[in-house]
Amino acid sequence: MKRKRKKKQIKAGFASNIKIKNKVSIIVVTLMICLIVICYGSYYVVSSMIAENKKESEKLVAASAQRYVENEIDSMVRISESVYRNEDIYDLISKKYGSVLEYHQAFYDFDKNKFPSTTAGSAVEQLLVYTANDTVMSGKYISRLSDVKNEEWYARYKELDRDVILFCSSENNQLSLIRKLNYKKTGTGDAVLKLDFNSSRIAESFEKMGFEGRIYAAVDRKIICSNIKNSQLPSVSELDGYYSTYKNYYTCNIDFYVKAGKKTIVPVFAIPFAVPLLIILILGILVVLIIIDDFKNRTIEVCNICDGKKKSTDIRKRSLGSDEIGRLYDDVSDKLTDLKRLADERKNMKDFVDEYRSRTNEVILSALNYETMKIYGLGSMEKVSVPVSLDEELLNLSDFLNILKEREYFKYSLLSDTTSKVKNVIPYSLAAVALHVAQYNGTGAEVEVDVCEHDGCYSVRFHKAGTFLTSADVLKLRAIFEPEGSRGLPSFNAEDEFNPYVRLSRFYLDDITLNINSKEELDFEFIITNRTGEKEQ
Amino acid sequence: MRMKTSRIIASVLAASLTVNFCGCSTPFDFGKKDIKEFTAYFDMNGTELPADNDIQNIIAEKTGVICHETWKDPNKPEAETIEEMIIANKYPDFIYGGTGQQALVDANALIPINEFWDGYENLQNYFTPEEWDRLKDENGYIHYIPAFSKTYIKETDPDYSNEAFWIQAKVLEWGGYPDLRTLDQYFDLIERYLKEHPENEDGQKNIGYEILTDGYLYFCMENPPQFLDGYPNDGCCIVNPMTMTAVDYNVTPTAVKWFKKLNEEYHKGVIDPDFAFMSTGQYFDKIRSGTVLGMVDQRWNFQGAEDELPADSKYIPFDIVINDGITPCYGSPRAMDTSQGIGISVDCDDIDAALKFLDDLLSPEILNLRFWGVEGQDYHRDDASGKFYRDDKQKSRGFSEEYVSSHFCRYQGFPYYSGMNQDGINTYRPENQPEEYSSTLSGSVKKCLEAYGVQTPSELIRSNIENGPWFPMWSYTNNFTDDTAYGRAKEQMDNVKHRYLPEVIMSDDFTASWEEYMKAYRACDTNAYFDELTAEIRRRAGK
Repeated sequence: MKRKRKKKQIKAGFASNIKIKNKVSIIVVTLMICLIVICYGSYYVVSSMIAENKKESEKLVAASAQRYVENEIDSMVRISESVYRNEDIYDLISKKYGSVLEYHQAFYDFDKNKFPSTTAGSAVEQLLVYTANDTVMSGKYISRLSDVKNEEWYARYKELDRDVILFCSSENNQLSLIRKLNYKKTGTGDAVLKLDFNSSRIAESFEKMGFEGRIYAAVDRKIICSNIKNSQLPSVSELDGYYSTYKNYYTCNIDFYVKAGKKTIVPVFAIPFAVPLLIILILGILVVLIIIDDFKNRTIEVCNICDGKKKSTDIRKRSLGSDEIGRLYDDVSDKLTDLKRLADERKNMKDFVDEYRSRTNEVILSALNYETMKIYGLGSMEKVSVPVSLDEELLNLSDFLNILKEREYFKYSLLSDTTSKVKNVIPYSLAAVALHVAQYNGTGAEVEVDVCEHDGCYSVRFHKAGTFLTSADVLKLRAIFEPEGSRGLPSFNAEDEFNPYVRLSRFYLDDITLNINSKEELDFEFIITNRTGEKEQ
Repeated sequence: MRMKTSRIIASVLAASLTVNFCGCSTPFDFGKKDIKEFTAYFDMNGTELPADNDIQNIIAEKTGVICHETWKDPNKPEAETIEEMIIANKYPDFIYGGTGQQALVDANALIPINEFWDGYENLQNYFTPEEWDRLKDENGYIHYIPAFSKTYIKETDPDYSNEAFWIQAKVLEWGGYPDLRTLDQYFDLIERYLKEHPENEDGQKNIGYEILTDGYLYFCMENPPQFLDGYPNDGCCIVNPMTMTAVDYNVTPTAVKWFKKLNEEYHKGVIDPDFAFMSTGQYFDKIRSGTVLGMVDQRWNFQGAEDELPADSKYIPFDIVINDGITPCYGSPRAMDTSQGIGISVDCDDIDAALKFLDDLLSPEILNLRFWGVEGQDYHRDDASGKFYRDDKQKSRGFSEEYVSSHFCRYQGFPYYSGMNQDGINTYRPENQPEEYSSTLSGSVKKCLEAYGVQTPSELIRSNIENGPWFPMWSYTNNFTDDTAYGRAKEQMDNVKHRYLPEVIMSDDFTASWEEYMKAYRACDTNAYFDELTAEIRRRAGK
């Protein structure tokens, strides 16, 4: 059996009572917050990953830096080894020279032909052999030991008393390998080889690593090389944030400090197609904002039309598109146009009815005038149209009944317990009814008229014993006193016998009620409530 | 209205977020036109520019070319990289060969520039037709363009940068700013000062006179005789303009006097006893120590070391001659060095673009960018006079290594005009502007220049005569190889001089040593050498 799919009923939710403008603001702010959250989230995730990898990369870089330094020191050691075993050097420094010229000749030959050319482009910045032979001159490659006896490196060398030491100068942070030259006996005293470490090569290697951060190789807190030119080693407390390791080379501990730079995220313009992507992002945001703005503006427009805030002439002047809102706008426009037409028609009808009533009243008044002129001999319209008090009307009624009585064809009894001074009775109306009752179905029977006042209302009862209202007349009377709206227009003319009833109905409208007390006898009464607008005129 | 505001805020937020997220501070480079990229290698010391150099980018926008320069590895011997390129047969787009220039030409690594240069007028007008002729090979091809040889209108370098007898400002001040004209006057002052000041303020032993003898820089010792006789720096010979012959300054009477004087000074203890044994680095260390009172040298050689000295130890140049009657001729106009220059390699895939780049670099606008920088940012122009000037901030920025490195791009190995700016009003670079130079002077140097009645050290070098079309002859000998008799002769002569001249100076018996030196010298085939020089002089003179 096919299950009927239940239609989901749309109900008003919490968002249904928020104005569209506020909704749009909320959407825009939410979008921006989402964007910020996404961006920040991504940034946080990436940063966390980088932070996690940072230590690892620092460790790797430190290991590489260590390897570079180690290789360079190894190269320096190899060069020192070749010098150590170079017999020409021993020959040059072993000889006691008689004069500077003699030494120059020997040196020139050595310089031109015998000195190992291993230093060019190597790990060694400067190579010098120091000898205790004071007959040599200090200069390129060879120097007198006596000239450097007070220097820091030599003092350290003597202090350690080892064949090979690694030394870092406190004066210029120069790292040097110092090696005793004892491969051959010179006969001229001590000979020492000093090789100055070419730190620029290491610095170059550090730079070539392309590491975004700081790398320091230091001995006793003196930088021997770094990838940052002319930098100083950070303070001990700052070094806490660095990855550090060290290695011992001969007599020296070389410390390595590595710290990745803060700039760890790839700059936007380093991302491939960064500019087009950025343009797409901005355009995307703009498109969303334009759509939201359009939605808001058109919805408000539709609401304004519904609220009647727009001139009717503006409604159909423009189209709001062909989407759902556009179609809604068109539908609302069409319906409002129809309503306008109906309202216009209603107004025309009302005008017609009002005019009809006014004309009818005029006719009735003319008829009444004619009637009073003809029946009562009153010559003034004013006498029958200006409301009087019940007392006055009773007086009229009494006079009128007396006249009829005097003509001897009429008996009557008039009972009244009212003393109302409120002028809310149309003159000669009740009298005319009495006349009608008196003449209804022949004269002769006694007509009783009872007027009672009770709770601000009064009732006027007409009773004629021995006769009764015909069904047709009952219907007519009821039709005359039907409530406003369903009360039919009198189909009879001004001379009709029911004119006084019509006058009462028209005058009192809803304030008068007809009660037919009996169908056996003519017995009916009017209950008239006081008309507040016509007090004490 | 509210929506509009929120939309704008949203757009700005989005854009800034995106940028901030990526931690980017570089400017947008929308609309950057296509830039051709070239590579260049210069076999000389230099500093590579960092990426995103401001003026390099501006020049790239204007010329459509960016050139990535690399320089000689200071740890490698000269021309070694050039040799490696020749062996690998792989070259950058532009090459400055240095001492390996001829090897590049011989290896057919450079295109004949004058075969392609039609329409590039800045380039063609860089040298006169006669000067271009000097660069042509036997087939009439020009393979490279000397970069540092052209002066526009006149020399404007306030600091004399060539060879001279130099003496510290404090020595001159102590001596009462004497008028030093002869060798005797020069050494007399140093002797007297040294006697009174054997040590400097730090207790270091003063060196009266230093001589650099290391490698090719031994010209400091061997070529002063040409200057002492009043001849310009042809470097390898004296040219007799009457006979159009090359004269050997090594054997002139003045040479004897010069070395005898050095010998005397050596024995007086004025000259550094270790001079014959030191390396160039040790020489610079001694200059840097401030203990060297005087020496002969080219300023461009020792300037780096001098820069570290206090004002009273700066060096002042003197154009010393052997006798008072001789007119000195130290300050020659900028010499045309035909031995080396920048060439376009056969591996360059767009010769036209390369030539256009060279042509553009010589346009006034680009020359201003290269040497003055960006108008308004690096210098101002006085509207009335057209004079360029720098305010204090701009001057101080010129001393900031970081700013200079990231901002200025001189393309210093490419051709340019020294002397005056192309507008004829300013000098080619700010440092040469007289007003600017005088504002940088202070202390002893300023006092010294005032005492001698000059505004710049250059003015102390008295003559500046026009040299013959052969000048300078060293540009010819620099390309000698041992493939020729004269090339081999040059090598022999150099070896002899390296070997004997220090000994002549240090010898206890000058005459005997000199004779010994002469004997060895004459054993060289000097005729082949000087005959070739004479032939070249006549060729250059069009005889």
